[in-house]
Amino acid sequence: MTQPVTTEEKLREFVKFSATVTGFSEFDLWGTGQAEAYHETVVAQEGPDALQRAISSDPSVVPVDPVVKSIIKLWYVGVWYGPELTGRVDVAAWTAPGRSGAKPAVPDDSQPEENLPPQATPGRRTAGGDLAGDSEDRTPPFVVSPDAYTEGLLWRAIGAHPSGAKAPGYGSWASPPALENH
Amino acid sequence: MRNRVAATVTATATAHDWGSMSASEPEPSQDSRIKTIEELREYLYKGLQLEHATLPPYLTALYSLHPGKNSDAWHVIRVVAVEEMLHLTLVANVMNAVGGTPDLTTSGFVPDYPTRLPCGPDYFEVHLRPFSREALDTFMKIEKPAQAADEEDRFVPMDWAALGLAPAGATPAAGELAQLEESGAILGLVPGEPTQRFLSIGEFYEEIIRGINHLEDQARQAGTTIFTGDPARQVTPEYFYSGGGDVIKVTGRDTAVAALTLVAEQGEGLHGGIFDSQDEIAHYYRFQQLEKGRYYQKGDTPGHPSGPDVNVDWEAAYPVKPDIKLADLAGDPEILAAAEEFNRSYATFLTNINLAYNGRPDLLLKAVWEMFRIRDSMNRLIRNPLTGHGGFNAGPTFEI
Repeated sequence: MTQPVTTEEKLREFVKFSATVTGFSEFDLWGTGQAEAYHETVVAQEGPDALQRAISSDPSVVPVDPVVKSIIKLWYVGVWYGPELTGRVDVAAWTAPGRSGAKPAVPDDSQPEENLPPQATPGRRTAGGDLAGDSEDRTPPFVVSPDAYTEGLLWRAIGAHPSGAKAPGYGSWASPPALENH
Repeated sequence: MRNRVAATVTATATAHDWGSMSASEPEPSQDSRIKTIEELREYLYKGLQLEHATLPPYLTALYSLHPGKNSDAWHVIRVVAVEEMLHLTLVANVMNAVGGTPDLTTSGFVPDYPTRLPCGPDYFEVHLRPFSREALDTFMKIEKPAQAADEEDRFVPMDWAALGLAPAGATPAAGELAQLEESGAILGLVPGEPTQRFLSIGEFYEEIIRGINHLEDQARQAGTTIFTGDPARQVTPEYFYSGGGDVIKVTGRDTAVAALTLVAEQGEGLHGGIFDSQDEIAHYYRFQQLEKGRYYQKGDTPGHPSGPDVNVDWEAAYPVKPDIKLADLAGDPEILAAAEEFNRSYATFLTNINLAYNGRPDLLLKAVWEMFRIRDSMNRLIRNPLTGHGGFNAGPTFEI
């Protein structure tokens, strides 16, 4: 494969790779409207080289490149978990349903400031391209965009609508969800 | 749709007083081309076709907006689209009231875009395309067409050559003409007489109101009425919720005129003013707010909104390939399959709406669920970049 050069080519390569590791089609991934925001997020958080390494890695090898795990999780839940957080149970518990009001397992300083574009979310990289700080000041998980939650693949994977966010129509709750099978 | 019906209706209402005294003494009808109930129903069918024809362009522009951006534009286009659905339902109610049978499933009911609408001496093309200044300009033309200066001005000889459909001065062959008339490719032709067209869609609706008056006057003189439809076929407010004006149950002349007047007012405002009689901003002025970058408020004069700023990001839209066809998707099998699936589900949706308009108004409630699914399908198509089309994205083709 020739190396992608333009932003558009890089984005297409990112989506193609994401389709391989999420199990959803490229069409579905583009259809979320989040491809650009996710691509920008990965680049901002891990840097272009780490992304390129992840894309070039063999996702069937165990252990998989940790960035690949972050990318999969990003598509499914719309939240960026840094590679060091993807497997952590306490982080999962923090974002688990029904835990609102409970003490977060990690400090809740992760909310992106209102009205900032996705790329303005806290980045781990300094201008020089080095990783900023160490694991002590890692970036807490954050929701990438206002639509990332409703566009998460997990909803389609479980055959449900994101509660209260993608209206299926008044009274439709009396019928089984009408979703494609995946 | 929009037109000059509002002004004419109001002017005529002073003479006829349709509002409260319609049963008393019929005034002589204005000259009407509609001489039979069958002709009236034919006009109403074209009305259904027209009202529906605005939806694919509005929806394509609406869903081309990047998610989470352009909320002002999103809300403006959405409100108009929802009200066009109301207009479709109102025309169906008039059709049912005069004993007609709405049919949204006839071949050619959905135009093969671009379709063409008359605007004064010329036609303008209505494309399926993303949100843009050009799209907005078309939307404003749709909502506020030219008005006829006088009676003679209302009809224009059809210039087929100008549309590239016949050599200069000629008319398409009979079979081709019939197909063009039926197909919705050219709207505003005089039904049954396609060598002529209306100056504007406003005049087309004006003719329907005149026809209703003429035929109803005649019927009453004979001790009957043209409003013979089964009232159970009417779509009533309990089956239609939108927040964009109430659906009107049509059972006679007053309600028929009220329904068609609401269609007119929501397009271009009462007497061409900014607000309609329900204090809603007319479609033309809603769109103009996006162009001017300001909201209208009470007391403003047309063309000079002085309310809060409207924020429009003209770049924050997916570059949908204009008037995209299935044939453009050969290089993208996944997109092609989704576009074909969309067209099938849209056809099913129209079939269900049609059932609702034909005695099963309760089915409209379920059709709303289908609309949400249609929205999601359109979003998915529009967000997918095409391969080898110079940066354009896919979109729904509406080839039904």
